[in-house]
Amino acid sequence: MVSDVLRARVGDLAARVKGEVEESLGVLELTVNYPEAIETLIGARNFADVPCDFLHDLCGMDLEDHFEVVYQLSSLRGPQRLRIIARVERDNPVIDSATRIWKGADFLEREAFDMFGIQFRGHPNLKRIYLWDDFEGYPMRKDYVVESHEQRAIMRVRKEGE
Amino acid sequence: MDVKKEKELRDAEVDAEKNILRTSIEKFLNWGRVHSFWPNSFGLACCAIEMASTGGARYDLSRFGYEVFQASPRQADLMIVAGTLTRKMAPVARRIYDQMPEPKWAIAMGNCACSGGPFADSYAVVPGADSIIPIDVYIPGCPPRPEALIYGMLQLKQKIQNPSKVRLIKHGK
Amino acid sequence: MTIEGTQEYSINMGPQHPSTHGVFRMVVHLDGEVVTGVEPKIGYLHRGLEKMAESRTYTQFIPYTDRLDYLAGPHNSLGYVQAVEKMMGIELPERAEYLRVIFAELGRIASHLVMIASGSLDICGWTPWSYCFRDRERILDLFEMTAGNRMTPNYFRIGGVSHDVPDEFMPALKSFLDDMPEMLEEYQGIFFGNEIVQSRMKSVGILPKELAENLLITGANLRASGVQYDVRKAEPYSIYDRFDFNVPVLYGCDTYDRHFIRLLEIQESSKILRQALKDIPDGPVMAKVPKVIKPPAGKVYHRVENPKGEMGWYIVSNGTTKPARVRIRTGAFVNVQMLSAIIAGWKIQDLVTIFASMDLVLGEVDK
Repeated sequence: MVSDVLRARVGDLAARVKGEVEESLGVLELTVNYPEAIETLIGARNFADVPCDFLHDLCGMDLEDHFEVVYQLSSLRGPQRLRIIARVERDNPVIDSATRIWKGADFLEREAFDMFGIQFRGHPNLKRIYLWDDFEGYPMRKDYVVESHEQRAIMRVRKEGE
Repeated sequence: MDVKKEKELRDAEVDAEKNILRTSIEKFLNWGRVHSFWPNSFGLACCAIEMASTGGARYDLSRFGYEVFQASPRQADLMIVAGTLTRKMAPVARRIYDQMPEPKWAIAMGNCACSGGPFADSYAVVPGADSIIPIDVYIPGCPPRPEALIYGMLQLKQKIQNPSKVRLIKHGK
Repeated sequence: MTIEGTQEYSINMGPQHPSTHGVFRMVVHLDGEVVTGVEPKIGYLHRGLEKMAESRTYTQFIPYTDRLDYLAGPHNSLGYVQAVEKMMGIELPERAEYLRVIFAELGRIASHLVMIASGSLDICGWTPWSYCFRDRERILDLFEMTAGNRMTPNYFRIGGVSHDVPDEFMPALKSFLDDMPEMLEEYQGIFFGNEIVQSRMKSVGILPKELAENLLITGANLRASGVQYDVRKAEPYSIYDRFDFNVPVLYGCDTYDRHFIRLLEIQESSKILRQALKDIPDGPVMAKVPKVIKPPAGKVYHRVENPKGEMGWYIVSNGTTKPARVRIRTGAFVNVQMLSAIIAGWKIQDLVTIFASMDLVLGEVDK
């Protein structure tokens, strides 16, 4: 149920940013590498006739050899939807922050940093949001090992100024 | 009923006609304490809403005298840990328990406070509030019904009024 | 701006507080009594649901979804089971769809009742609180009659609902709906028409429309700022396109409007319930689903209109019985950013009412 106008626009954008287009269950997916992520988002926001100007979700994903940052775009003024997947390296996960486009991406990026360790360049306040500051490791990575029952029952010591 | 107890009751009846009550200070103070717990509102998650419903109009907690939910721990004597205790929250819970004046008691309400509940193998959850705070009564359920909470508080009342019985039934060794 | 001789200071509205609606902590920067900034610090109820989903099967995860927005019990599982059904391509029988809509809308009414109750409790109005909770008990009775548990019924399954409702359900629902107009009039008189409430909430905490869209606010907060958008009308899921209901929109952008729009939404939900009650057919309540749920490898993103905002479910399957990734985008988490954006210049007492109007529930914020 993807409209032809949207398909055409996404095709043009993919040619510009060297990305691949797929379709899954009625939603177009555009996969790019991390340096072109912000350009893709701005391009999608400025589509003529079918602007995808509402970032619905931003999340990280851990595939075995690389991370992915998945952006779900939609619009308040039309039925268009788009999914943009940005591939990020595993050893040094860095990507540009989307907060200069949407201020509301602030907390979403902090959560992705907290859970996966992906650094967002240009974020105003990149600190852990769900876990405490001294927590070691990034829980949502596939190679994270949960601590044992006894270790979790010990009360942690609060840092001053937390 | 044995002979000693019958004699006690007869004497008490005679005294009551003359408006005299013989008791020990411990029993008298305990009577006052158990009939008006002042719970500290430490609701964390879903069980907190059931705690609020217990104070509502249908399951009325006021008929027992327990409706004063104090926000400040310095004026409360019962801490109801209602909900999942996470590792980030654990030092805060301990600090609030330490701020309460003696005599104080604690109730673990819900599966998450008793033993971690459905989240026992999560990386961020303390498996059971009793490794942080000494708990007197455990109320299982997810969430426990308001009647279960009332039953738990009445069990705590029995426990306080009969300290010798509780000392006999020591768990563990 | 500081006047000569005063000093700015920060205090902590801690995780344990009577009016923070749960374990929410914020560091409030003050200049006298005027708030200059707020830093929310969340995560005191983070239970790691997304990680646990990777070690549970698809059906085993359904009880965990109820604990997200624990005020609207069954509504959270609606998004999850619909996303999995989209991936597997399952069609539901008619009766199951109607029952799901009935339970979802009852959850929405229950959640909005608690929002009005706690909004009034924060300004020390005890009576609306006890009235709302008394009416909420009737909804919880309906849940208990069907599924056994009051708040988190765990009733939906992949492919339908778990079992049919008992015979007393429909008459009890009908009597609840018949008493509803009187209830709403009571709230109108005692809370919304109250002079104290109006003077404390009108023109307080303005959230302009462009700022709301840039902050990615969704749900009733967005509709109280003048944007007509509801997922049930824009991209209808389940059978919402068969019902005739309006989407209330208010243009005041202030705290009073954010409370009042929830009362209007309760009215619209009761319209949906009446229509569902009239049209519900008989039949089976569960589709033919394989015993072991193994969706084909793929990705799906499904959105529903939760009472607190929009909930998005991004499920990635790798062909086994356990999901590779379940991502829950909750409305309340993104809506928290509204607080620090609009709070500058208001006083502490307005901070409490603005916070109550955002309608957060920490289970959704912290997952």
